[in-house]
Amino acid sequence: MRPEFISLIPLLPLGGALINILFGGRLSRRVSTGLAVVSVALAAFMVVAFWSYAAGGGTRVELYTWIEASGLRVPLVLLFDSLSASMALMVTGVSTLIHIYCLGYMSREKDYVRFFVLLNLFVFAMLVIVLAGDLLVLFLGWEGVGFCSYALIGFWYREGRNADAGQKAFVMTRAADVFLLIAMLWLFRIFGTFSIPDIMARTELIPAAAATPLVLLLLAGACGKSAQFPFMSWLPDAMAGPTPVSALIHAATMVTAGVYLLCRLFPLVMLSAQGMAAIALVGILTAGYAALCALAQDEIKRVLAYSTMSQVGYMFVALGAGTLSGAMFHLYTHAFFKSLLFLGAGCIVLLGGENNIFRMDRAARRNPLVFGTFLVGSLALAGAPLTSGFFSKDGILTTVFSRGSGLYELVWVLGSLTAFVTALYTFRLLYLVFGGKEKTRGEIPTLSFSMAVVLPFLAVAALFGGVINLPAIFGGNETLRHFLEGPDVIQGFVAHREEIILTALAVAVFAIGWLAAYGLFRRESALRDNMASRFFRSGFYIDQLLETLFQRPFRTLARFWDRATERQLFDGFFSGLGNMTFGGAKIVRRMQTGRLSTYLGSFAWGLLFLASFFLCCALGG
Amino acid sequence: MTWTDFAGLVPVLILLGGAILILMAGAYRPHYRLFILAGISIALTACGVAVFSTSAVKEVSGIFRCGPYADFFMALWSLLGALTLGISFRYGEERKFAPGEYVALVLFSCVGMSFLSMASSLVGFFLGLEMISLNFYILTVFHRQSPEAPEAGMKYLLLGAVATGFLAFGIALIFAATGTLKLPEAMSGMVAGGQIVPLGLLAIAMFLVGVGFKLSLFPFHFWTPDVYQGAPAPVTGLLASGSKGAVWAAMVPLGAGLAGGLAEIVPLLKALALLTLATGVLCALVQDNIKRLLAFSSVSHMGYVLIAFLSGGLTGERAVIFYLVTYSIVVLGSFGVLACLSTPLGEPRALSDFKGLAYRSPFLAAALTIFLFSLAGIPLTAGFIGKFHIFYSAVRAGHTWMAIAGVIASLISMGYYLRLVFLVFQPRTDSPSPLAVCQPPGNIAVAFCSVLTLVIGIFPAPLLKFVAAILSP
Repeated sequence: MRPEFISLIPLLPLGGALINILFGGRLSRRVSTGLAVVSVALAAFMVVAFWSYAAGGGTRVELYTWIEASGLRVPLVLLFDSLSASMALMVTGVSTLIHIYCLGYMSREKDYVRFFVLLNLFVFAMLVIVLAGDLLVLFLGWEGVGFCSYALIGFWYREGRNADAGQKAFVMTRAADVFLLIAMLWLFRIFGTFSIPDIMARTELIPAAAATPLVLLLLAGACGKSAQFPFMSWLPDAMAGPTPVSALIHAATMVTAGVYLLCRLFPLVMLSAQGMAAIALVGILTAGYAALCALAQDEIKRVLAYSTMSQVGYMFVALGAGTLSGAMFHLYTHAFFKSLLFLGAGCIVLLGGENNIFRMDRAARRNPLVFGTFLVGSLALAGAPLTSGFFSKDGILTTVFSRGSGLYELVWVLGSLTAFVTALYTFRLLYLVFGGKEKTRGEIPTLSFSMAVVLPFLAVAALFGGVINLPAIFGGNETLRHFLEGPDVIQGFVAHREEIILTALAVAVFAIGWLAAYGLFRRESALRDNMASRFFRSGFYIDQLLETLFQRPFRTLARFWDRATERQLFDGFFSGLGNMTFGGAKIVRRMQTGRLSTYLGSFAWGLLFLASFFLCCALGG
Repeated sequence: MTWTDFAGLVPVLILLGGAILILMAGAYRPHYRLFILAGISIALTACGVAVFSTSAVKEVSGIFRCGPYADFFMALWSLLGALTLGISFRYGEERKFAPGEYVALVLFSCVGMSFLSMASSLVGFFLGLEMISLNFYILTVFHRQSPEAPEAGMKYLLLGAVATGFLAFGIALIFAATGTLKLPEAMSGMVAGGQIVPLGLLAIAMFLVGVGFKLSLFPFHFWTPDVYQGAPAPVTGLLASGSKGAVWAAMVPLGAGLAGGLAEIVPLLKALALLTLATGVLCALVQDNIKRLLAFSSVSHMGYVLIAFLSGGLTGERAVIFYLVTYSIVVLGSFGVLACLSTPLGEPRALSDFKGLAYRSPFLAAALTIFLFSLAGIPLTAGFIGKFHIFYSAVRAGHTWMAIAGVIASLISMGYYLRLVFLVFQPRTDSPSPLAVCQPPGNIAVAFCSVLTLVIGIFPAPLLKFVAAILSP
């Protein structure tokens, strides 16, 4: 196959979306939804088919020149290397399963065409980010992802709350995008190109003083999409969207775009030790913050949202500690178990009839499939030994520990504490959702086949996903790490004995978390309402803080400009200009009398005008 | 004149012969649809022959020149003729147009346009121009039952006759001043010692009055809205596109002298351009009738072309020709939309008739929107590229203020073009619309024009290169 066909990977979902945009209303439901699923599944198949092209340095495919102006040339380049290929495989694979799940989940939805169009467009935009070989092209996908996320969070826009959540997500991520844009333009100024491989090959051109600010700008940009401090508060509200959307966008793919961006530009990130420290710090703060918040939520999807934020924080920690493969490993395992958890949560909410974990029916526990798979996902999230989440999280903490110095020791301690809190809130969720007294509500809806069928696949991935990067002490050879061949600065100089102790510690943390949860949450009365839990539940009142710090002054200022300048000055000026033009038009119009004599007279006047001009010419010359 | 001379004129001869045949056939068995289709195929044949013709001779009879420039315009005007007949398909049938005469007159006017564009002598110029005018005098009043037609025809004929008088007198004076009617020489002959001779000045003034009438330049534009309003919509389309474009095509070689001794008249042309722009734009702003609006809009567009014309040079000439090609397509398409929307009872008149068009005829609404965007000069349409090159040529020639005036004019023009677009997409109120819904044959021509508008707007480079190539072979 010609390498140009790699472009089919993003184009297939785009094609599915376009066909549904144009003809979706006329096709039958079965055909149009089927098209959406098949286009994504084919894209996943194409990634597998092109897998060999990712070997070595990867393949660069230049499709055509997108922009060509003096000094600026932006070709549409796709970069298919080990990093983008494995990410694309994860994105398309998880997306396919979620698309299949949506067939059942959205089966009562009347507006299904819009839903599947947006879902396909989202996959397209995400694949553009993943495969882009050029920062400007990447930015297109970046914004496309932001738009699709906005439109899907507010999918049920008739309810004002949902539309507000969509807007919040859009505005917050856009605010962070500005930093990414500044970083991109700065890089263009230094290198004269947007091409990612070219920039990465010549990172030595970056002045030493510019490295740290650049990394910080990139970090801020990444924080927006990945819901990290201080741009994190949009993610819990984003749960207003349909649950599969939360699974796809707000767990598996879009929120990892920030991590992917930093991985893509990792050689640049490594130039600045301060920048890496900042990344680790942001990551661990967000991880700890979100884990505490997750502890007090009373809606199942908000627990999962905060846990996503917390887990993405771990990925940032990994990047800050200098292990690209560690971050990507956790990204993949997290994508498996978190999409599983979200899809399971969709089933639980459907069976339980309620999003609130205190009020919902415990009907889900009588469905062994949902219970079993959700349990697997939870165990992986909590870091139960030998599940995928255990290996990836333990790998990150081990790397952080090996860095040694003061800051990283602090990060390691906080990371281990967060792991404890993670186990705690995960088992709290499990106990509250599946334990306790059963309330009956009468008839329990049945799950459709397409919803049930995807859960086992994801459960297997969540349980055994660890094998893709099994560490040596478990008899593995770190396949993913060798595949990515990331420029890991830490070549694992943790002694064998230390590694065993660290692993044992991770097991202990998990066990203590479980036991604590068993003691605290077995009965559902605990930790329901006191000041601490209110503080945690509201996300440390960050929203209120942002409201007072930014939104209220901004609104006041906007009102001032509106009243003082917009209405008085500009409106007056422009409507005055318009009125003047119309006044002039009315005068000119009077010449158009409709009488032939006027028209003939105008000939005479015209000739007189021309002749007198020439007379002046002749006399003057 | 020899046989090889004829070879250079084959496309025109096809049009001419076909028109005569159709005219004669019309006496025996007039069948409207068949005749229109025959006319379209004749025009398309002529167009195809013009595209592939390579003439051996440079000039025919010392009146018409041959070569890529002539071939290009023969093809263009034949194509416009075919499109005009296409949009007349239902329009003329409903109004019981005499088929033989109608088709023949449209083809004859295309012959006139071709001759005018090919003119290499003032005789050819005059012949071509009169051939167009005479046909349009008849075509304007072709729908005799229309209440507005007689007024339009009378005004056009009377004013046209006066203008022809000026033109003929101007040409006679040019001959008196220079002793030749050959085109580059006649113009350069008027310059003596770096200055235009006095007789030449008078000649140019007369000549400008005549040409100004045909091009609707201020203050010779007054006939435009009245005639546009009264004439049948397809005829107006051809009148606004082809007849004006052909005059520009003939003027471009004349403009070559502007850089040299004729530079004296550039300030005059500037004044004319500014006044034309202002009148066209301001009057269009307060029109409620769609055809009058398009008439004043065409006045303003002639002002834009004049800016490019007086800028001169290869850039200016290229801008003129590119603009007249795209403008012809767009304006014919817009009148095509009007023709498609006409019912046997009448044509669309008030702008408010267009309210809610998008919900009844989405296709025509989309096409009309594309045309209006192009007229307003909004990117991704041909009109934007055309305007860009006009302003570019003006800036390059040092007439920055003209470019700024042009930009301001197109800014004001947004007011009336976009108002119509808003109306088209407004939800309908309950009052029934007097407009028809679209039907196929006319739509094909409209669709062709709108697609071409977009294609040229997105990929202008091939046409631009081609125009540059025919200008400097």
